[in-house]
Amino acid sequence: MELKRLELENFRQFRDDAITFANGSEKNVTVVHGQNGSGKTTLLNAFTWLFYDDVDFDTRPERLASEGAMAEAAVGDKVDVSVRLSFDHEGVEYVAERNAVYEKQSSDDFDGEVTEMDLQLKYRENGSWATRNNASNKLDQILPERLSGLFFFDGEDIDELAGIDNQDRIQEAIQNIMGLTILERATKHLGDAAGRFENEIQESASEELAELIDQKQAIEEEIDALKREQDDVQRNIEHIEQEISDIDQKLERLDESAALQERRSEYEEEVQELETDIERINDQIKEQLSEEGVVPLAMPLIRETAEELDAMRERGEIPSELSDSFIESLLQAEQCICGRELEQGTQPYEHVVGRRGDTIEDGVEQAALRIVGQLNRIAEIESDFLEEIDELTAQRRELHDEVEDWEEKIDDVSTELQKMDSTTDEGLSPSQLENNREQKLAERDDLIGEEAAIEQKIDDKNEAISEIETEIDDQQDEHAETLLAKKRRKAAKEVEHELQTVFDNLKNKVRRWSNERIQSEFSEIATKDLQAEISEDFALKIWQQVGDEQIEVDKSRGERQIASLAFIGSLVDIAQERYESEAESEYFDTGGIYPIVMDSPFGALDKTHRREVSEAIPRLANQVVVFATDAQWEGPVEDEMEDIVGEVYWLNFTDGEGVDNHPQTRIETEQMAARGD
Amino acid sequence: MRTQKYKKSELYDRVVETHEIFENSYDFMVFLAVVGYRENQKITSNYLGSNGMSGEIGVDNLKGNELYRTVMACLAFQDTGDPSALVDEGQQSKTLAQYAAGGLDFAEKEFGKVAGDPTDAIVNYIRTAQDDEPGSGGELEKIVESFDEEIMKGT
Repeated sequence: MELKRLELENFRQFRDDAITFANGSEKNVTVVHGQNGSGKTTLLNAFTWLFYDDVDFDTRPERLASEGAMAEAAVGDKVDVSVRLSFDHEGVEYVAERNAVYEKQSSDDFDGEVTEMDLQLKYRENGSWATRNNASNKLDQILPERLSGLFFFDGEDIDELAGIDNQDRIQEAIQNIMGLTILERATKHLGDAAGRFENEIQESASEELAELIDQKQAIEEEIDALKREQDDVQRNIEHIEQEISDIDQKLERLDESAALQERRSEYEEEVQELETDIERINDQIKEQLSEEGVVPLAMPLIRETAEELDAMRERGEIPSELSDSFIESLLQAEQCICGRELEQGTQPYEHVVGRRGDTIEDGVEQAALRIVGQLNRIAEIESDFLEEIDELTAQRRELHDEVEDWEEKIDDVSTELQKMDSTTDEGLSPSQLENNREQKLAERDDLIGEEAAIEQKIDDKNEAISEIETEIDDQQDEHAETLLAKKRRKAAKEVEHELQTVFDNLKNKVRRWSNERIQSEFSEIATKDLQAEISEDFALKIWQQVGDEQIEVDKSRGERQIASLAFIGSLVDIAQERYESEAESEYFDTGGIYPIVMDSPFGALDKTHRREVSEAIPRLANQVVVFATDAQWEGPVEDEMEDIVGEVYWLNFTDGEGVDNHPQTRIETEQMAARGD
Repeated sequence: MRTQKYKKSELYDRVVETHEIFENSYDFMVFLAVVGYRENQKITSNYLGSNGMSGEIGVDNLKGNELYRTVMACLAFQDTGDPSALVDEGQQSKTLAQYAAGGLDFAEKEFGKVAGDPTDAIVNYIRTAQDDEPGSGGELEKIVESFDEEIMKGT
C-alpha cells in the first residue's frame, strides 16, 4: 500500500484541506508540523475513520463535523463531512471516500446528527474507474483493522511496548501481523465445542457419568472464582507497593530521615545484587543438572550392561568383527576406548590400524564397545558432577548468609527511624511514616502468601480435573449417543491441543524472526553497547554486555522507544517478506507492504535519543508520515531527516475567538507557510 | 524425522518451562527413564500418554547425544537381554518411553508435590541415590581393559 493524497472536508477543525504524500525510494518521508492542539491527532483519526469508522479523541469525540460549518448552517441544514484517500495497492490505483451527512438540530447544536453515512471505494482498471462492492471488507483486506494500531500510532505512547508487563501487547502484535489470531480463534472455538459435547454427554449419560461431569464443571467454576480472587490480590499487592514507594519518597525528602532512607536504599540494592547472584548460581546448578544430572543415576544401568556384555563376549556370544568405520573413529579421536592414547607410530596405534580391512557394517559389537568406552568418561563426569554441585551449593549458602547480614542492617535502619518521633513543619514524623511502612510491608507479605496459596489451590484443582477427565474417558456407558458425544468431545479436545501446539510454535517462530531483525536494528541505532530482544515470555528487553555476562538494564524512555520502533520495523519487514514470498501458508495471512503514520514520535525524548529515533524512522517502512511540533523537529531530528523528507506541511491553527469565528486548521505547504510568516 | 511419543504430565511443564531445570523435554525424559530403571518402575500400557497428557520428541535429538544414545541402548538391552537391541532403534525408543513413564510416576511422588522450584529436591534425590551406590572402584577399569585387549590383540 502506498499513500498518495488525503483530502478532508469539514472533518473536525479542517474545512477543505489536503496532503500529498512523499513517495519513492530516496525521499519517502512526509512531515506535518503542528503545535499541540493544531490537529495532528485529528489527521491520524482521519485514517481510522475512513477505513474503520473509528475515532479516538480525548475531547468531544462526538463532534466530527467542523464547528465552523455547523455554526454557519441554519437549523435543518445538512453539513457534509468527508475524508478521501487516494492510494496504490498491489499495482492498482484506489480512491476511498467516507462521507457522513450531519443535520443541525437547533440553533446551539454544533454536533449535529448523522443522517447518512456512505463509504465508497473506486479503483482504476484498464484506464477507467469502477466501484467496488462491499468497500468496507475490501479496505479491511487492504489494511486489516487488527494491524492499524501498528501502522497508525501515537508516537508518545509507543515506548509502552517495551514497558514492564507488556508481554500481552507484544504477543498480540506478533499474532496480528501473521494472522495467527485466526488460529487462536479456532482453538477457542474447539474449546467451546468440547464444552457443548460435554453437555450432550451429560444429557444422555448414566447417573455415574453425569455425576462425574457435574463434579468437573463445579471444579471449573471454583477455578474461575479463584482466578478472579487472584487478580484482586495482585491488584492489592501493586497498590500497596505503590504506597510503600510513596512513603520512601517522603522519608527521603524529610531532613531528619533522608540519610537513613538513603542508606536503606543502598542496603536494599546490595540485597538485590546478592539475590541476582543467587539466581545465577541456581541457573548454574540447573545447567549442570540438565547436562549431567542423568550420569550418576545412569551409572548402575551402564555398569550392569557393560558387565553383562563383557560376560557375553567372553562366552563368544557377541561376534568380534570390528568395522573399518569404528576403527577409523578411534584413530581419528587418537584414543582407544579405554582412554589409552593412540599416537601415530606407537605400538598401540599400529595394533588398531592392523584391525582394518574387515568388511562388516557397524553392528552389535561396535555398539557394545561404545557402551564400554563410555564407562571411563561417565565415571569422571559422575564424580565431577557432585563436586561441582557441592561447590555451587556452598557458594549459595554464603550468599544467603550475606543477605541475612544486610537484612539485619535494614532492620536496624527501620528501628532507628521508628525512634524519630519529632514532627516536621509539614506535620509528618519519620517514626509515624516508618510504622506505616512496616505495616504495609507486613500486609504485602500476607498478600503474597495469599496469592501463592490461591495458586496452589488452582494447581490442585486442575489436577483434580485431569483425574476426573481420565475417569470420564474410562467410563463405559451403554447409550450410543453418550458414546458418540464422548468421542466428539475427545476429538475436539485433541484437535484443540494440537492446534494450541501449532499456534505456540508459530508464535515462537515469528518471535525469533522478529528478534533477529530487532537485534541488528537496535544495536545499530542505540548509542550504548546495548542489545534488544523479545524474551521467550514475549517481553521486549534490553541487555548490556558487562564482561562475559549480559545484564538486563533499566530502560530509559528513549531506549524503550527505540526498542519499540525496532520491533514495529521488524513486523513491517516480516509482513513485506511474507507478501513477497512465493511460499503459500495455510496458517499465515499473505502479508503486505504498509506505510507507517506516526503522531509525535519525538515527544519527551532528549536530543541524543531524538537523533537515534530519527535515524531509525526512515528504515521502518517504505513510506513514513510523521507529525511533529516545531520544537520536536528542530535540531537533531531536522539534521538527520532533511535529506529524505519529500513533502512538508504546516498545520496553521486559529482558535477562532470572536463571535463568528471558530477553531480552524489550514494545512499549508512550506512556501505558503513561509509567505504567511 | 522419526519421533517418539511419551507420557507427559504437568511436571514436564514445571520442570522444563516454568523452572527451566532441564533445557528440553527430551533431557527430562531421559532423566526420568533412568529414574524409572533405578526404581524398577516400567509402564508397558499407556506409556505414550493420552488426553493432552502426551508429548512427542524427535529421536534425532537423542541420537545426537552420545550419553543418551548409550542410555537408550543399555535400557533396551536390559529390557530384552538381547544384544541385538543395542542396534535396534525402534526397540530403544519404546523402552525409553516405557521407563520414562514409570520414572514420571515415581518423580510425581518424589518431587512433584514440592511447592515452588523442585531443583534442590532433584539434586537431593541424585545425592541420595549416589550414597546408596556401592563404590564401583576397579571394577570399571577391569571391564574396559578386557574389552580393550580385544582390540589390541591384533589380527
